[in-house]
Amino acid sequence: MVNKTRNSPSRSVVVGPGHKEQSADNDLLGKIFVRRESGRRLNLALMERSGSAKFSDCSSDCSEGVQPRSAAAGLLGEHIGKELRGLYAEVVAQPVPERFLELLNKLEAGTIYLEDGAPNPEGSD
Amino acid sequence: MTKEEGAGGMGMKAELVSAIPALRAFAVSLCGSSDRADDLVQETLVKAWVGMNSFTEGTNFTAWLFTILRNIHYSDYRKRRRETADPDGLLAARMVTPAAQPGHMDFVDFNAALQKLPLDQREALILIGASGLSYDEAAEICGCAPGTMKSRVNRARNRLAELLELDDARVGEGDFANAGAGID
Repeated sequence: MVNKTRNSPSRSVVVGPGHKEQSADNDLLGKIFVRRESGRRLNLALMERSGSAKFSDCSSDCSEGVQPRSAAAGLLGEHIGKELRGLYAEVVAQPVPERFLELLNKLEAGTIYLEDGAPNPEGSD
Repeated sequence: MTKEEGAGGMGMKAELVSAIPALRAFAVSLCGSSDRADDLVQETLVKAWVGMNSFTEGTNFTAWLFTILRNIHYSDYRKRRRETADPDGLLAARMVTPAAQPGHMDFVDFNAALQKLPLDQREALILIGASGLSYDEAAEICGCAPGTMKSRVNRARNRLAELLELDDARVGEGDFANAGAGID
């Protein structure tokens, strides 16, 4: 039943009084879906399982799956921040490509010049 | 600044070399393609070398380089949009080559979602959320007020949150599925 629900475009699991049946499966994925008042789903896969359980406890106090937006937004915000820093750090950690060192050597030696029609560097700032 | 002195007195070349990793990271986040990012960095290095006299001593050298890179990117972006008749940047958003990260499916999804943001929001998010620059420095790079930078960051976070929500099925199959896989 859960799998069928998951593949449906309108799938959602209401976390609330009747959520126990799905909870084991959702915990396996380490995530739960909740339905907000607006009808839009919020993916809370953005936390570790312990956090998930904590959140689930919290939501069981809420009527009919209504989720506190601030807590959910905070989790998503954390996830975004983490991904963003990860993406950035991934590239920062890479060694400097040889082509740039060669380019700077040539610039230093004065063996290359700006191509004709290149924008005036003075106007670059 | 002279070529010999550099921004921190260690020589222009050494300063540029040490700034390259940050420049590449900014470029990749900005345009989503590693190849294009390195072309952007190359152009930035040349312009910085030639235009080093316009750098103001005592200011953030990396921020100055980011400004140059951003200007090049914007200029190319406008040109490309004209050429492809893609006024909303929709095509450009699809022309993303996500960095291959085996075992990091979520990373690819995130990068793809990031590239769907409007350019001004994307750069605001990267500058503030990843590069470690202050709102004031980021605002100066983008030529806007710090308050504008804050609202762009907020809009970017909200939009990204929406995009990632829509993508939740794939997120579930990624890192978080793995995180929960060991718990039976």
